Amino acid sequence: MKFRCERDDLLGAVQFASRAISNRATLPVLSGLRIEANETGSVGVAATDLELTMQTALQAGVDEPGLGVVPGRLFNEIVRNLGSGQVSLASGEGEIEIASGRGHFRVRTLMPDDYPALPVEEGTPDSISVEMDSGVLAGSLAQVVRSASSDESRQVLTGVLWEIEPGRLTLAATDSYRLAVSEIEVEGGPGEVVKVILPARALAELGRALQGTGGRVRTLVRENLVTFFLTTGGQEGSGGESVIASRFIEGEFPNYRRLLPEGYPNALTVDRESLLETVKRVGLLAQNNLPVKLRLAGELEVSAHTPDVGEGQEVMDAEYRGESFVIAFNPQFLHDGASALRTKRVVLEAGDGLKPALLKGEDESTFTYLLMPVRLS
Amino acid sequence: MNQEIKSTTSSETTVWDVLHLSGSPHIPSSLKVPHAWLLLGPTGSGKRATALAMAAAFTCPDLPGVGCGVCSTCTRIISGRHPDLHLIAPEGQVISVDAIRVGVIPEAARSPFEGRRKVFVIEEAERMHPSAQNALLKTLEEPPEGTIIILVCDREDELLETVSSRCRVVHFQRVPCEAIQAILEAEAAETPVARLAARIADGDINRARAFALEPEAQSRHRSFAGVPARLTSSLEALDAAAEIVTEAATAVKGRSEAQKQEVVDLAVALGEGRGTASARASLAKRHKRELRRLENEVLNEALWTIGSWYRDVLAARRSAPDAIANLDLKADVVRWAAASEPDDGLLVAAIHRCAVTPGALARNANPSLAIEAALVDLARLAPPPPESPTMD
Ligand SMILES: [Zn+2]
Repeated sequence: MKFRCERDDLLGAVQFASRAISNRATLPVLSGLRIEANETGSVGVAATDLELTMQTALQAGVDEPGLGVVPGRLFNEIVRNLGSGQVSLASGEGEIEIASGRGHFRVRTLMPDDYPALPVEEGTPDSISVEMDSGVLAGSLAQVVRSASSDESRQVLTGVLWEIEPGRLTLAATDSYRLAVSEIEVEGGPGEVVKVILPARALAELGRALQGTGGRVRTLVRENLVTFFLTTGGQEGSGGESVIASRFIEGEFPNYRRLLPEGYPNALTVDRESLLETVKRVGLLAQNNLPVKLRLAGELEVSAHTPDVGEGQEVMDAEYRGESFVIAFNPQFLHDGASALRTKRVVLEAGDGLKPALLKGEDESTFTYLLMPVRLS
Repeated sequence: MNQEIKSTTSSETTVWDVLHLSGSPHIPSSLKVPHAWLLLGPTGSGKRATALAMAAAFTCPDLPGVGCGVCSTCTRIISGRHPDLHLIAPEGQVISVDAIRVGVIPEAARSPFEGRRKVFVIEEAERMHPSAQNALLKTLEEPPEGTIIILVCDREDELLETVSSRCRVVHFQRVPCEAIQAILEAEAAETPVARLAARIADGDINRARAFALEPEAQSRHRSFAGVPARLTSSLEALDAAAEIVTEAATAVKGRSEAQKQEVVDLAVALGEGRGTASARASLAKRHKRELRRLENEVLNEALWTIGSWYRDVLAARRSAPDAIANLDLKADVVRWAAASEPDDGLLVAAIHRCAVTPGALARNANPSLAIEAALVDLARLAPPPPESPTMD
């Protein structure tokens, strides 16, 4: 393998792919970056921790096509510290030579034959393909990923459910204390609903990669994984698509639609920013897993009390329809829900102090947050 | 999910050939594939190789259900470097509950990375802490789609009944002498070396392989086999014991050099930044365990070899030359057999003394003291017969 390229292009590609390198790799070769130069003049840079695979490409002058696996962190550091300008890479027996300006580096490589087959090629004809705006997907991911569980004993809940149907994608996550459901429009889709569960950690990384790219994402659901093809908004020097792939979590996601209430008689509408600030302030006095209490009425009174620590109380303007009562929530979960919404005002719908409450944006229905109240003794 | 596995096809070479398992009585042939297997039998009876061959059979894209043994998938499975093969082994003395919680449960819940199945091989499964075994139960009982779990185990009695009862059990026997010889010859050992290795290995293919393929192992064996002839007094016994302990230390030192390179490789691969500490700590634990095991193996090998000498003398007295293990020293064996002392009873006592010492080593006895005590006893029980005066 032998090629020349711009250091900035190489660095961009290396930093993108390096995000999939894990510190606790089970296979030694996964600590490496897989670099493949093609005769078409594109160089693919990829890494995987098996959960998450990230690959991107850059344009280069390829003198000799080939494949090499370089030690990830070291290579990343070397490229980052090179000056701008042209870099040339050439692989030899068990090593790779990096030359830039008057600098020469020779680094031992890892065994390319040991590298797992990467799931980055095109799918088979029966793969399901949908396309969407990358900013919209990033927003939707930010809304739901946080609600996934971190309890490893119920693996399906550590993931996010993807429900794909013609024209629509629904994402849902729950840790059994709250449930976040977000819907977005997509192009294409299967004849009937397809459901897969993807690990929340891989999706958090996908969300990060999508931020500010301003392009489109093509999502391909295959037999054992989902591949996201990212077209960046026509960046200079980039060799085209970046690819992110994730394995599924196997199992049955709980039927979340059954959990969503039909509608409640009591509805409180408040300013979202004020609610966030108030919950944050009053929440300081809700320690040791104690809740914040909300008295739903023409004004919203938020209060908290931790024995031996102290108490706090604040009143907010609100619009209210229904009977007045008190409902209590984990302040962090309430805050998460309100911050995932994007409207100026939010609506809290509740049945009584024990039934799960709904948090939504005012006049907006693409995101729903269901929150279990804390039972007051 | 259910699919048959086979060890042969009409013509092609298979992974079972590559791992020298063809014709093995332990191939789980033509069985519907259950999700959980327990390969049970003595050390060196080919359980691990069989587990890997099974993993290849389950995942090989070229010869599904058999394993071609040569494709990229099979090659990486055999060398333990395939993303859909998960090898779990003790770190230190036990397989902890965390090893199962981190290494098995989330991985079993994921779809396979390359193929349609993922295989978990739990080595030395009897070393699973009871809490680890309990953590594994649910996965054993209802493995997620495409998951196969193979437990490799020397001693079933340390497995919980709830674990073993959920597995299809395959019993392994010591490998017959001729089979070992054939395997070693296939692995390019010279016939006389292979024959000798098969004789002295006592059904343990690992030991036979070490003997046939490593010159250090052969020289070590010669020095161990020479020990009975040296045990003329307690003082000589102490000398011989010191040499055996030194042999073990030398082997450990060789391995520890190789380990240093591994540590360097890991550092190069990961860097030494934040978050790499646990990878380093786990490597260090594995190394320590390897060294302790290696030391024990060499000491056990010494005891076994010395014991085999006394067994050979008994065999020669009973005119059973086929049973003689130390073919290279046959003339000396015959000379001992012809002498009146040590008599059969003392030889049996000496063999017994050799057989009980490994147990003491396993219980973490001070290794040098245990070896010294054993050899001093042997010098008392079965000193060599006096050299007969030569004719010239
Ligand atoms: Zn194969």
